[in-house]
Amino acid sequence: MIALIRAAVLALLLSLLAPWVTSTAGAATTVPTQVAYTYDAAGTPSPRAASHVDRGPPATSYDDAVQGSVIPRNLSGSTTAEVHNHGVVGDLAESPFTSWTRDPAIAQRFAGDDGVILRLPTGRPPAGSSWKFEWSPDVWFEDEVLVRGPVYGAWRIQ
Amino acid sequence: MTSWIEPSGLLALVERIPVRGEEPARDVIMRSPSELIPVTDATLSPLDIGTYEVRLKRWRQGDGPRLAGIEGFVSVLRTLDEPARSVTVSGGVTTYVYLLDSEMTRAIAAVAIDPPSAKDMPCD
Repeated sequence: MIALIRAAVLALLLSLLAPWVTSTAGAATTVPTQVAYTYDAAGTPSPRAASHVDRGPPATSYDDAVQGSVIPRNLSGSTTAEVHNHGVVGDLAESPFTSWTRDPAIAQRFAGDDGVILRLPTGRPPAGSSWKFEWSPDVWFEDEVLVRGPVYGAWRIQ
Repeated sequence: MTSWIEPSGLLALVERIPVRGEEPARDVIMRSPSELIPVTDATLSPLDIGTYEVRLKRWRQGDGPRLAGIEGFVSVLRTLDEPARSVTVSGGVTTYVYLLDSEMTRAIAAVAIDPPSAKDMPCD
């Protein structure tokens, strides 16, 4: 009886996880779900956030940025937070991170006068998000916060 | 990061560079004298020039960390005509970033990074 209950619970869990898990050569692989934030007419992000981080993407990322998308250069890259923060060109190409900042003025500097600025609420990302916040050594005192993974639906504030 | 350098080796290369932060380079580099220091691959543009231009501009406008040698450092980055490597070493207060030639026989440029002065620190 207990075995039957266990099997039923397992089947239920698997059915709930089905959109997120695929089987590749017998090994389960988690596929990140792309969850976009939604914003009301006043531009307030949902879920509501008391604080936020901003990003001024380089011009080379303009097309993605205007749609609120930020895609790291290599989703499965091995570049560390330290190396990303130092701006090492060869390692940036392999970085799973993008740089964000708590200081809007810093984002403005990186965006330039005519660039796009994107905003994310801080706090825990919604369940199933394709990204997460990570610590930065922030050697250059830019209030940097790293985001690992692709972001879709960020709020465009400029 | 595919190369490493001994702290004493790095110190020998950078001693002639007159860039000095709050903590002397010797103290920062020799902080853990037996630990090898990672060095980036040699590339023609070892650091993202756009990022460093923004950092220079911020410094020129009096914002951000206290920097020593940033103008020369970015100038070298802009005009590099040979592959170079970068090395970053942090002490208790100061971080130094160095550019080395590809053979790691010569230091090309340096910048020292210290925390913003107290008057520039945010209050929160």
